[in-house]
Formats: sequence, C-alpha cells, structure tokens
Amino acid sequence: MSHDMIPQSLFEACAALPGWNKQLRLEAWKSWQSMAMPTIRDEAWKYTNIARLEKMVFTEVTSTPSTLTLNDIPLTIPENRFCFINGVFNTALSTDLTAGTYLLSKSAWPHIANKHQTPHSYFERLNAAMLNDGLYLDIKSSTHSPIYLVLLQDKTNGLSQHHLRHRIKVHAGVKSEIVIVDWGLADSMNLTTYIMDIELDEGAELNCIHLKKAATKGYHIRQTHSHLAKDSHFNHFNFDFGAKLSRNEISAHLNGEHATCQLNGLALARAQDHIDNQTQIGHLAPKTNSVEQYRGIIDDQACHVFHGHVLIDANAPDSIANQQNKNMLLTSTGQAYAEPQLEIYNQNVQCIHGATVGDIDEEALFYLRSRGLSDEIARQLLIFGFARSILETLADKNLQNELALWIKTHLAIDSELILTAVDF
Amino acid sequence: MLTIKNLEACIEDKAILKGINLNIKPGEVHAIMGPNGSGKSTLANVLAGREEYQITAGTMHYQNVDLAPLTPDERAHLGLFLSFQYPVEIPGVSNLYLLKSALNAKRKHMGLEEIDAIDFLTVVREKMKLLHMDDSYLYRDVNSGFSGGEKKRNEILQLLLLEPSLCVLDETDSGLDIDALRIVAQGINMMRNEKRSILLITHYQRLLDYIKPDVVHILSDGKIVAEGDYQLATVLEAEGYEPFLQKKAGS
Repeated sequence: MSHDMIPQSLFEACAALPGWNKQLRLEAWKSWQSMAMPTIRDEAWKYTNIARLEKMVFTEVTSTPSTLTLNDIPLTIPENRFCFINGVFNTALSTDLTAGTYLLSKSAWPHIANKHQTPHSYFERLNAAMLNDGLYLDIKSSTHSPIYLVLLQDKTNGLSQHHLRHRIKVHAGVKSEIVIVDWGLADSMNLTTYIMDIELDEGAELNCIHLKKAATKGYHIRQTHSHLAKDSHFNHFNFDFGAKLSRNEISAHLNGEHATCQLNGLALARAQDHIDNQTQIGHLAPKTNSVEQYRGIIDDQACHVFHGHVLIDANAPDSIANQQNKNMLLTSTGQAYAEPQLEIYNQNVQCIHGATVGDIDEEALFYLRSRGLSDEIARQLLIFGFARSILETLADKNLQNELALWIKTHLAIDSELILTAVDF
Repeated sequence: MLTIKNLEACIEDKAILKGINLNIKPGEVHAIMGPNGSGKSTLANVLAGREEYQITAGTMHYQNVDLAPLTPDERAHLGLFLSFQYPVEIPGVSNLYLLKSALNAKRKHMGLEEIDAIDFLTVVREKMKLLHMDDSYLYRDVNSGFSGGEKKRNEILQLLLLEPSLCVLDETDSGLDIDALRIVAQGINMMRNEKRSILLITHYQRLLDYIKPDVVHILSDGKIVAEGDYQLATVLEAEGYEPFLQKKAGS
C-alpha cells in the first residue's frame, strides 16, 4: 500500500496543530490517499524510480530542538533572511523585518491556501495535507533585496518528513532577488516537499537563486511555479548538489506580452545521486521570450535527468525560445537523460533547442596538456569550465565566488584553480 | 636537438608515417611541405604526444631524451611547443588563466616559484602588444568565438610567453590574411636564436617568404621525398608537388 509511508496518526497529529485550516488539510489528505504514487510508467517519472519510498514509514511529527546555526552552512548568509529548521520557521536565526511587508508562518496560511485549494500532483497533495510551515512574501519595494530563505535540515533519529510552501508576490515595477539555501546534513534520511508559487505583476523582475545540497540519503521534491504578467522578468538559477533523489519541477507561465524568463541550472551528481530536473515554459502571450540553459556533471554511478518542455501557444506570435541542455559524464557508469520537448502552435516564432551528452573533450584535454598542464589539472579545469558557463550567468560576483568554492569542494577540485578561474 | 629515425606511426591501423628521418639542430629552422594527406600534421601530433597515434617503429629523441614514453605535458616541460593547426575552443576557461597556468607549469618544472600576478600581466601585455592583440583577449574564453586569424595569433602569443626551445608550427599560416601573416611571422622571427629550433609545417611558400628556413623537406605518403635549402620551396611553388611525387614513384 503506497500510503502507509505516512501513518494516519501522523496526519492526525499534524491536523491537530492549532492555527491551520483543518478542513483543507483533510481534503488534501483524502485526495492524496486517492492517488497512486507515480511510477516509471508515468511519462513524467520515466527515469526516476521512487518505489523505495513506499517501503518507508515516516514516524516523526516534530523534530527535537535543533542546535544548528548558520555557521553550519559554508556560505555567507547576510541579513534579510528567513530561516526554517526541519520545515519550521526559526525566529532566532531570522531577521526581524518590518511587519506588514512580510507575513510569516501561520499568518501566511490564508495567502498560501488560496493558491492550493486544489492540489494537483501526488506530492503537492501530500504537501497540502502535511504542511509544516510557509511564508508569504509580499514584495512591494526593493528595499530588502536580496532576501535569503534558508532551509536547514538537522539530523533526525527516525525517518523524518518536512513540507513547506511559500508564496511570493512581486508588485508592479519592483525588482527583487531571492536566494534560497537548502542545506541538509550529510547522513540524514528524510522526505521533503517544498513548493513555491511566484507571481510577478506588470514590469516586475525577480532573480531567484536556488542552492540545494539536500541530505545524501534524502528524497527532496521541489516545485517552483511562476506566473508572469506583461513586461515582467523571471530569472531562475537552480544549482543542485545532489541527493539520493533530488527532483526539481520548475514552471514559468509567460502570461503577458513581452514577459521573459531565464531558467538556468547546474546539476552536480556524484556517488549514487539522482537529480531530476523537469522544466516547463509556457509562452501564452505574444512577444514572450525564454532562455534556458541546463548542464549536468555526472560522476560515479550518479544520474541526471533533464526534461524541458516548451509550449508556444497559438496566441503567442513573435515569441522566442532557446533551450540548451549539456551533460558531461565523468565515468562510464554515470547516466544522463536529456529530453527536450517543443510544442508549437504558432508558426511565427523562433525556437532553438539542443541537447548533448558526452565525456570530457579529448581534443581540449590534449590542447591543455600540450601547454604543460598535468592530466589531473587539465581535467579539473575542463570540468570546472563546464560548470562555470552556468555560474557566470549569475550577476552577483560574490555569490559566484562562494558558489565556486562549493563546486570546488563538491568535485574535489584544487582550490587555487577555482578561485583564480572565477576571479577572472 | 631533435633526432627522428625511421619513424613510423599509424592511427586506427592506418599507416600514416612510413619511415621519417629528420635532424634539427639548435638554431635551425626547418620547413616541411607536402600535399594534403602526406602526414605533415600527424608528424606534428606524434611529436607532441597525441595518444590516438601509435608509434609502430623508429625513434624520436629531443635533447637526447626519448620522447615516446613521455606524456604531452612532460614533452612541454622539456621545451616542446606545438602550435595547433586548429586551436581548440575551451568555453569556461579564460585565456588569461590558461596562459598563467601554462607558464607556471613550466616554472614549476624549472624549480622556480609561481609568477606574481602583476608581473605576469606586465609580461603578457608586452607580448600581446607585439602581436597587436588588445586586452580583451585575456578575458575571453580560450579560442571561443575567435576568428581563424585570432586563434593563430593566440597560439603565437603562447609561444612568445612560454619561450619553448623546440617550436612545431602546424600550418600557422592558414586562415591568416596578409597583414596578420606578417605580424605572426614577425612574432616567430623574434623567437629565432642560436639555441631554439623551429619546425614549420606549411602548404605554401608564402610563410617562408617571411621566415626563411635553413632546410626544406618535402613529405609525401609518410616519407620525406626531397630535401634542400630555401630554393626548394621556390621550385615547389613554380612546379607544384607533382614532379617530386613522380620522382619518388620512379625511384
């Protein structure tokens, strides 16, 4: 039985928490129970097998108090931050921002609930039933930008589960940046669902940078859905450092004329990691523009799935879509699945797409070695160069440098090499 | 001094070099000319240590060191430099970084400390000026989006910076217009001295008008079929390869 993984008692304890709308939870719980877990027979889950989840039984309702601090993350976290530990908002680690601008925790519930009365997918339904916490960011000015959302996962004794949902609204003409740091401790086993709804009003602009290092044994399922009004711009950067299962479903609905989106991603998968990136871009209005660049570096027995769906509606003439997916396999045992999918209902558009899966370029390797660089350094340079092409699409140089260090540590690349390469 | 004896090499079981003999002394400039498919580029790549080629017979020694067992980077440390016919584009790696790493790899081999960042920039900018290259070259990714001429100029910049003792230039003149050819040739001529050996591989005489070789070899079907001084290149330009190939067939 696929629904035994969340015992009824666990749901009831969750539903009994004060401050939430019990009826909505119950409806979501029932709708989740009525739905079978996706399998590899489902198109959207073809390359990602989650059957093992069914055999797990999650036990914890709330976690023991955590001693985690921001120093546990190898990244500078500035002010203007909201921190969640094991799915629950943590006041002590967060910045006290002006009331009214940001609605927090349970008080955000009505705003979030509006958006998910009819949860759609299997994990969206589970998220709605079991929601731990959520945040509503109502961004009316650029004053606090960038805003950091920090999600820490502490060690837990049993199999834990965390469910978060955020809603972000950027008002007309406002420019803002959000950095999401999703950090799981190395040996924890857990299930996380994390859903984010983003709404951009006319002429708004949002940079959304998501850095994810989920727990090695974790199942981490994230959905980011964005809706763009006329002349708005959404730039999403997805840096995923792997997990047992890390799934990112990202959608951009270009609803208004001249709306543009940029979806860039870098998947660094190693050991037994499985990273699954599913993107959907809908060109639903004239003169909309999308650029998408996804790359994967796959080591050991790891796997990267990229499925990129681009829809150009009949009502979206003069639209431009450019999608590129490149994968670098470092071993013969790694796997990469690249699936670009274009659905075009208007002939007066420009669409470019390309997907590649390959090893390290031997020509380039020989070139570097003929200049005196050792095989090891030359390989590291080519691997890092491959990642850097995505890294340098970030405007923030400081963040670029910090991320370069993460990538360095993750790929066991010589630190000197990276720092210098990025400084240039 | 480079000494190649009866060198034979193949790629995927296809014999390309069929017994090359070549001696280049310090300070000498040799040119190898020959029609397409004669094995010119293979010779250059075998010298630099490209692994796709297999040496099936013969030897090659540089400064009395057997090159065959050495990796491409070890050969570079020994002073060998190959200017590529088709320089490789490396997105994500800046030209500045490559230049600096290559120079430091050489310095490390010589037991010297890494070059100071400021000193490095001073040196590299000086060399770039000689090749009429602006600062933007440094910050662009290695050869990425470079025109054919820019790529070749970038090869010569590396040559000037690394100061190798044996320069193998594989069709450095191809893809260059007259002005660029003159600038590149000036760069190569600046490198000429009594200690440095240069091996020019080319189709055409025009590069040799700028860089006068001491010896010209004609390569055909994996063998050197004729040798002479600079005059040989002039004869070749007037009469084509045909008489030399027939001579070989007749011999």
